This record gives sequence, structure tokens and C-alpha cells, in this order.
Amino acid sequence: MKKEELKVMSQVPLAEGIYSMWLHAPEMAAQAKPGQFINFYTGNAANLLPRPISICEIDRERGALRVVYRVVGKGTAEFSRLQAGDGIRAIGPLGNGYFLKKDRNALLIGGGIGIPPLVALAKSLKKENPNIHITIAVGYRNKEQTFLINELAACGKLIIASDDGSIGTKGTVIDALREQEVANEEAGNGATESKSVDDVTKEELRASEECPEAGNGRDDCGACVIYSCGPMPMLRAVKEYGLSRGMETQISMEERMACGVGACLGCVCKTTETDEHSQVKNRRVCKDGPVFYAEEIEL
Amino acid sequence: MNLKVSIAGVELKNPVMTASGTFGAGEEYSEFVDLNRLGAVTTKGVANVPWAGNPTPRVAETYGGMLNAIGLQNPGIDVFCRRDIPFLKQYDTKIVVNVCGRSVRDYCEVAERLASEQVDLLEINVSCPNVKEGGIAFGQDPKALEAITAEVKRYAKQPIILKLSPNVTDITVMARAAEAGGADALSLINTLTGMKIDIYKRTFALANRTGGLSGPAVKPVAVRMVWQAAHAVSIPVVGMGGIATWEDALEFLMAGATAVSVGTANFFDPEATVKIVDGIAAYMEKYQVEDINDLIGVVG
Repeated sequence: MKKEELKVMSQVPLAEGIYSMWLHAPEMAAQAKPGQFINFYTGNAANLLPRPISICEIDRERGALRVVYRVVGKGTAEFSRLQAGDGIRAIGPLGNGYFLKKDRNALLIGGGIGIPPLVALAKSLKKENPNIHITIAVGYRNKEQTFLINELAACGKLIIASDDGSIGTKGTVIDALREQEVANEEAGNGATESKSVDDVTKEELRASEECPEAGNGRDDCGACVIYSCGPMPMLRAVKEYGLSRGMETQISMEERMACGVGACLGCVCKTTETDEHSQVKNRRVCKDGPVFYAEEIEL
Repeated sequence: MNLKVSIAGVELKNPVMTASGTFGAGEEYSEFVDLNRLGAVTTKGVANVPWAGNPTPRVAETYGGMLNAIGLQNPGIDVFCRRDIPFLKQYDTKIVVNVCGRSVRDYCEVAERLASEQVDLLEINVSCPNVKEGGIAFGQDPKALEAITAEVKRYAKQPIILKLSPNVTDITVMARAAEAGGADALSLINTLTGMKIDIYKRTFALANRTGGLSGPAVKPVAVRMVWQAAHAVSIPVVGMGGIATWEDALEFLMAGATAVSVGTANFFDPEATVKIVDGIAAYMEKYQVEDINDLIGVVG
């Protein structure tokens, strides 16, 4: 974990209220993993709590990190006004990030401002093992509020849902995934239409061989591990979707945080079992998470 | 130049401590701060058994401060003794264990358990505003405060600091009650009870509805109460409440605090404590103050 005065390399708006910022952060970039986050401090003690923002991209060669965030209050509004060359105080990378299963097909599910960490994750998975199939299902409010679509599409098969149906399936990401399942069944095809029957068979074999602990779980995208991040209603649906199919399901949690390092116990989530550190049925989202296995937490 | 101060016979290398509940048991912040540089580490409150705390959201930012309603979540004294004390013993700093409970019996059980442990001071938390039983109930009634102080004192081997609540009509009454019960020192202020409404969700920002206000916003209230308490009793006072800079810390010392605790500021700057130690030393050098004790209560 590093404390750094970071330099803003560039900042652009991606959609209304959504900003993308590249930061020069060599030490953090060297350590960062997909699913981790950075705590950014405002320049004003009137807004004294750090703002936790997930890492969207990690560029070790340039010693750079990208964050994509939504302006939700005074702190993020201040960040959105930063320009190239400006400094920002931060600590990170914080939390543990996703458990990368590089030999398993992946289904990434994101909603709204939970989508950015999936970019770093998809890129890492693709780099670690170019042979796995990556399906990415993302939900936006509407077509105007889309972002990071090109980055995600470059890493795998992209499925889009929107609240108003202006892009992709009208409804939630889970609706879009179910629609995909139905389409696949009708096509008599267990996976994406672009693949040959041989590919599909190999995929099925890989899934069944390599997911023993996940109960051979696999959905019709040919995926056997779900990685997700998004709002609570989506996470609840993801948990149900994944566990009902016997898929390993990883969920990145969000909770109001104060310290961000595990000291204040502000951001706990409920767990199904007694936690070793807390000795009660909860864990710290910032320090023990933010990614948890779905069966370990109560949503 | 002397930065050492003494609380009930326990010598601190400098007057800067951490405030309970903001610093865990030191481990999380040890990546940012050399704990050897602190006068003392005050741990998160610990009870006789594990406590699950309150539902979330437990924290909310307010102007120049924050509200919290953690609800004294803690792993219980057994795990604390097994895990957290050995961690802190690696460092050359004093250990202050914050003790909480639902009943007088709970507090005494923890104090008794700690008698055989290598810790320096106990801070008795009779001022948490976020739990239904115990906590502040003992800190708002002078008779109850004097009684619990006397009872815990019977079991404690280490000197005890009574941590007082600012949510009272007259802090001097409470300070004198703790002293009468046999307290070796006082610490104040704990958080001020507050509330925040989320106007978009049209409900309370905290699941507990009310929470404890801390941070720079409360500092003038805290300085006033520390000054009042320090004049009301002859035992040492540990001052806290919104200290974020060395200037803030000096205000408390000059108001009569023998030592100070830094809490919420750790969240804004993980290195706040050591910066305050350095800032106090630089002030003393600049103004040729030989002994930090010469500044304590200097305003009269």
C-alpha cells in the first residue's frame, strides 16, 4: 500500500457526470490488481473523508492508473475539475481485488459505476490466458450514459442492457443474460454464435474439468466464473443467477467508508459465518474485500 | 528539549496519542505511521465478549466532520489479548486499552482480564452515544459515573482514564464525579450526538439514525470542555475532539490537557499523528520552549 501525491495526466468526461482520469502513480501501478481501489483525498478538510474509487485500468509500463468515476457530491465534483499537471493526494491500492481464475471462462457482470473495474479485470484475464472466453454483461441507464464500451468489447463478447432499452436489452443485465440463454437454446448452441462446434465442445470440456468445486457450474455463455460489481439490487440478482447455476460467483461490494484501511469498522458487510478477524458475522469491505465469494456474504 | 509527559505515573515520550475507534489496534495504520513515534496508541473499545455493532450505513460525512454509529463492534477481550496486544508490544509506545461494556460487571471483567496483560493504561468508555446499553448511560449520570469508576478501579491493575461524554449539561460535574470515584485521569471529549438526513432518499443517513459527531467541526467545543474539566479536577486530562494539526494539539495542551488524542484526522491524513509530533517540536524550538509541560494549562 502506498501513499502518494499523484499527478493527473489527463481527464475527460465520458458521459454526463462520468469522468475518466489517468494518473501518474508508478508505485501504485506496480502493485495494483483488478478490483482494488484508491482512496482519494479532497483538498478541503470540510470534506474530510477519502473518496474510494475503483481502478479501471493499470498501465505498469507508463506507471499509470486510470479511474472512471461518477460525480456524486462535493468531493468527486472537485476531482472532476482537475486538469493535466494537477496533484491529488491518495493512498492505495486498497482491498484485495478479484480472485483471478486464469484457466476458467469468465462472465463479467457490471452495472453503472460498477463497470469500470471490469476493464482492468477483463484485460488481465485476457493477458493471462488468451484462450479463455470472456463474456461481459453490463447495464447502463440509457444510451447517453454509456461508457467504456470499446474497452470492454476489445476483451470479449459484450452484452448490454439499459433501463430504457435505448441500447441493448431493455431491463437489467440479468434480463440480458436470460435473453441470451434463450437465444442460445433456440439456436441449439451452447455458446456464442461466432464459435465452431469444436470450440464449444472444448469449452464445455474445460468448464467441466476445471470447475469441480463450483459444481461444474456453467451457464450458456460457456462461463464458469462470475466476476461482478454494481448496485446492490444487481448484486443480489447476480448472486441468485450464479449460485443457482452452480457457478463460482465473485461480488465486489460497496459500502459507505471512512478510513478505507480496515481500522474504523465503518464499512462492514454481513457474512454467513463468523469471521476470523471480527469474531462476529461481518467483514470489512475495504480491507477484507471489496470482493467476496457470493456464498460468504448476505446481501 | 523535553516532549515527555506523564499520565498517572505512565511516562509518554510525547503527548500525542491516537483516539479510540479511529486506529483499530494500530496494525492497519502501521503501514503509514511508525508507531514508535507515538506517545501512545489507544485501541478500539473492547468488551468481555465479541460485539457485532450496528447495521450499515455506519458513517456519514458532515461539514468539517463526520458522524459514526459503529456501535462498538469488537472481537472480544480474548482475541484482543491474543492478537492485538502482542502486535502493539512490538513497538516502543504506550498501550492504552479502551474498555466498553453493557453492564458494570462487563467493564470489571475486562479490567480484571487485562490486569495480567502488558498494557499501560485503561480508558473506560462511559460515553459511547451509539449503543443502547452501557456506554453513555454511565456517562450522563454523575452518581452512576462515580459508582462505575469505583467498581472498575477495584479490578484494574493499571491506572484508569475515564472517557467523558460532551453530551451533558455541565462537564465539570461529570469530571468531579469520575475523580471522586477514583479515576486516575480523564479523557474528553467523546463524540457529540448528531443526525444527518439524506434528502434524496428522504431518510436518515445512518442506519442508527443518530451518530457521534467528530472532526474539526467539534474542536472549539472540545477545547472549552477540556479547559473546564482541567480546572475542575486535579487529575490529568487527555484532550481530544477535532485535532487535525499541531496547532490544534497545542490549543488543547494550553487549555490544560496533559496529552492529546488524534482521531478522525487519521482518516483525512494517515500521517496526521506524526506530523503533529513534528509540528509541536518545531513550535517549541522556534519559541524556545524547553519543556512541553511548561505549555500545559498556560492560558490559566
